Amino acid sequence: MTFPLNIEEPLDGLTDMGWTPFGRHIGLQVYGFSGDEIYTGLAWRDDLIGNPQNMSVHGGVITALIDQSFGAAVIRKLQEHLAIATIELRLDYMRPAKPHQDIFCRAICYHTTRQIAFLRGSVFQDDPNKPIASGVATFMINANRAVPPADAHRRALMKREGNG
Amino acid sequence: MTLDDINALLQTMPFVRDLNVKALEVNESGLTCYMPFSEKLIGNVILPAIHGGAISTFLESSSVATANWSASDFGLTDIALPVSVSLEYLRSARAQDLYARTEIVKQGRRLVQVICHCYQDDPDKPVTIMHASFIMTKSAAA
Repeated sequence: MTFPLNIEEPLDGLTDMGWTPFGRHIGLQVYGFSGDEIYTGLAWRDDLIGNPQNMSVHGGVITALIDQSFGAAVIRKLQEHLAIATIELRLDYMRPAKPHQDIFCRAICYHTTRQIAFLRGSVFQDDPNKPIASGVATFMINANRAVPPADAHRRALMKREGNG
Repeated sequence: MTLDDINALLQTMPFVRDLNVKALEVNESGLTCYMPFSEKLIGNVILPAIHGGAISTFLESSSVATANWSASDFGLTDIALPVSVSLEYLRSARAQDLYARTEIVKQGRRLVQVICHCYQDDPDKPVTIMHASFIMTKSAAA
């Protein structure tokens, strides 16, 4: 999988977005950043198909990709691992995803206030200028009052997966 | 479409089958659907809570089934194509089963609009609400 855009700050190799089990289940990856913009994606897999008539990936997979990319863009913007939560998300599907082609996302947190982050992003396949979907969302910052210590997330993930 | 027809349709969709989404009941103006909890649905390991994308997959699947159920009376038989979805995440979904109650907002000649309330143990405390619009078609082959 090669991201079809120039990335100013590519990550060394692919980094999986498996910090959520659902993200790991569908194979979310992060490619890198340019400023506040994040580049992500997932490989095409036939078990992710939602519509067997046109063989397109399930809309929920696209929503999951954009939602988690938005979350990562907020953390990137804040430069701090605060608890965040999606408030509203709106997604427009411009065209069905083509089968056998990887799916990519570019997302940006374009504004934050003390409590709210504002995001927009698009999802595409081979051509970034022909998005298959476009989305906007708002996120709550500091969603849970109690901010967990830095490694609490890693320990909780290992425990859930039986490695802790 | 009967309840069996609706479940047969859901079973043709690989990712819907993977998440075990089922229709439980056909109501007057919509459906009741179900998705069992599974570890792979988790989005926040600390709370823990189900991933917003897993909830939207469940709700979009339930809404597609509802749109096809409704449009079948009009001879529109292809799988509903989503145009726009809008999600309000009201509270975090805990690590347990999810239910959805769907309702046809409007059945038009080509467009179907559906609203979907997702809840866990209390239908009056929805975790997420989805509004979705679908284009309905009938291909020559169908």
